[in-house]
Amino acid sequence: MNILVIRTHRFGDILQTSPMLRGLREKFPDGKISFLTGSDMTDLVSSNPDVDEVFSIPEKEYRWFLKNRPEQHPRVYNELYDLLSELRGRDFRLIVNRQYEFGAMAAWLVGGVGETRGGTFSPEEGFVFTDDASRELFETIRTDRRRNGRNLVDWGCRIAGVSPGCGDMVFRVPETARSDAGHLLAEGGAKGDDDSLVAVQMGAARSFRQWGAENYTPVIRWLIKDRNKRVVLLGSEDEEGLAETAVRCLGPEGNGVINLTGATDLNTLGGVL
Amino acid sequence: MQNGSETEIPLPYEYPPAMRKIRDRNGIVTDLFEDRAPLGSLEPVGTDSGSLTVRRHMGGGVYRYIHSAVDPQREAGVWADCQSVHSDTAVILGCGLGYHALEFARRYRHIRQVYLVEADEQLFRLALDASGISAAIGDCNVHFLIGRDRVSVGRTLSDSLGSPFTYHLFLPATSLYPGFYASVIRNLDERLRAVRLAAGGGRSCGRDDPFAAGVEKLMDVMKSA
Repeated sequence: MNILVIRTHRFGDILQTSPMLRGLREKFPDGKISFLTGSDMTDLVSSNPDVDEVFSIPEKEYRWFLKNRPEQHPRVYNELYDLLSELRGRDFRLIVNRQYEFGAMAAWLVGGVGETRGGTFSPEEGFVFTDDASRELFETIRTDRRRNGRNLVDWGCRIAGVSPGCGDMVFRVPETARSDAGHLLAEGGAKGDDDSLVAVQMGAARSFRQWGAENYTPVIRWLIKDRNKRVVLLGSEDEEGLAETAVRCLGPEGNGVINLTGATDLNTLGGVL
Repeated sequence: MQNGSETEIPLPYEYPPAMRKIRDRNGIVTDLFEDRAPLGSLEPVGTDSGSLTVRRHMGGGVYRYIHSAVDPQREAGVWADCQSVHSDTAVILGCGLGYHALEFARRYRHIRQVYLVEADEQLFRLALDASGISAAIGDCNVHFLIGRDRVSVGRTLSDSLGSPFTYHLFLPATSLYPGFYASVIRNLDERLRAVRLAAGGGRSCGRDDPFAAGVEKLMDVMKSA
């Protein structure tokens, strides 16, 4: 039985599919689990022992080309066409879509005779949910997120129809990445066996979800002064501004902060953590 | 040949008899071979396997091999094995000495029409003599588009490719003329998208919504997100 899981972006969200993947493996021990993800998440997904095959799509690049480079649209079209055609040929019996619109459209195009959970698309109805758990999650988010009694792991397992709490989060960090991380931390003045390090990541996928550097600053100051910790700032290049603001607001206390924002790729981030 | 002041290396071969045939069949290559133009910066070199390879002098004593300096045929076989071929028409971009095109033809015998694009006339002239590519000249299903006339090559491909096709890059040759091949690739992508949408890709995803149109819809979703 061929199974496809779709989730292309956001490190945390993909990481939280790990228990669901373990659940799928336990439920379908002879099944082959494929995962469609973004190119920059390939390392994370392929390190998961419950994933047999990874299909990558340069989703961020495509979105940028689609918004800014009309002359590239035919290329993007053809590459998407080829990838989805290949997936379509796999005859998936179960598709678990953990992403709304893109995933729903992709699930519909990959289609096949099997079941799609987590949302798909219908030419007549638009975006539709074909399972109760997905409908419930969508309603919870749409009406009042504060009433949400489950975390992302539990929702993922419910949508996939597997037992919650199936396993741990999985991210295998290569030795080279651990070594690179060690060098970065050492350059910042940390020692290899330093157990006073605390990682702080101030960004969020969407700006309205960000707490703000001004709110993080007192927390970081408290960690440094009252808890005697070394703070390591982490995040993507997009979040370098947040880190610079926090360090500036900290004043002299910011001198001991190790700022690795924008300096790590996915594997090195894992190494630092 | 755009070789500027680089060393001119004399052609060590007799003019291939296949030239006469190719002149008779293909408008784009007509007149390219009227003169026995010098090879310019191209230098044919023997390899350990006994086959010929070619290297291009880039100036300043630097040169770049277009095929393996050890075994070009084996290299071509590896390249051909890596290609994804899922239609009966193929466009090969960058012919070089032709090894790749020949290995491609050997492996994918279901291919009915092959379009071979080579920007470098001198390189193609060498190919006719160095590999078995000259034998393909008599095959009316193999089309040669030689030279760097972007408009002509683009128009010929657009007019000829009426059904879904695949295209395949032989990078060592295409990287010598990146602007030309980028333009050809843009043309091919536009054409491929058009024929896929026109044909509906042969796959239906919904009652009235073909796969090809669905991919277009997915792009709209990605653009608006």
